[in-house]
Amino acid sequence: MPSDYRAEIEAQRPYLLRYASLQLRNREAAEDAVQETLLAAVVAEKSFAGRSQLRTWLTGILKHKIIDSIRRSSREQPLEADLSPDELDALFDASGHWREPPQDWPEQALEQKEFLQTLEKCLAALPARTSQVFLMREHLGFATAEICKELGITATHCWVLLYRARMALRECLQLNWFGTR
Amino acid sequence: MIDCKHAARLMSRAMDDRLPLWDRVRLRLHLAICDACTNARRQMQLLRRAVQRLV
Repeated sequence: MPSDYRAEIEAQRPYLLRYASLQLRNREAAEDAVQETLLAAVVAEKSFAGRSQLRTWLTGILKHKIIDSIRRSSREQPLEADLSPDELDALFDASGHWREPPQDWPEQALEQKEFLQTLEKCLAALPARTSQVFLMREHLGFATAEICKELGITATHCWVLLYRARMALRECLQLNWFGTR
Repeated sequence: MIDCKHAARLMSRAMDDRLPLWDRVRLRLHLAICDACTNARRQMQLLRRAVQRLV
């Protein structure tokens, strides 16, 4: 086995670890998923054969390892079944109108590194499960039906968690980014 | 007519699954007259694009 292949794989470790940490939060679980990915990549060198970018290929393997990890942890620690009307309802007044009407956010924020860093901080402030479901949907790109299946929750529960995540994130970004500019 | 609170939930759900016809109609009618919810929907879409840029 050519050693430069191993070196190239190893060079992707920091990127993969960042990717896994975003999804899993738990450093140990993220490192395990990356380690399993790198091992699988060494074994499967022939099936790589330069068909795609190395990073893209490794990320594809990593996604599966992340899902395995999420599946394991959701078995050990089932999702809280809390569907009560929540604090987010405080965003609206008694007649159902926004207390603070949402503003028109400038699109240029997407080009700013600091904005994405603020977003990561806002994600980290979400309850663990809420952020997990949100990232499975928006970052890993799973359909809600797949998320429900993996986590053993109902579609309604899934929609509630996604709604909570979006509303909490837009509050957080308004407060820490758009409202300060 | 639905209120903003109801519209916000429908907007979010519409990003994940196809809404039943009646909900689609109610949401569209609400968005046609509500700037705040139209902004909220754009914000959620911007949020989606932003998350895809992470890492």
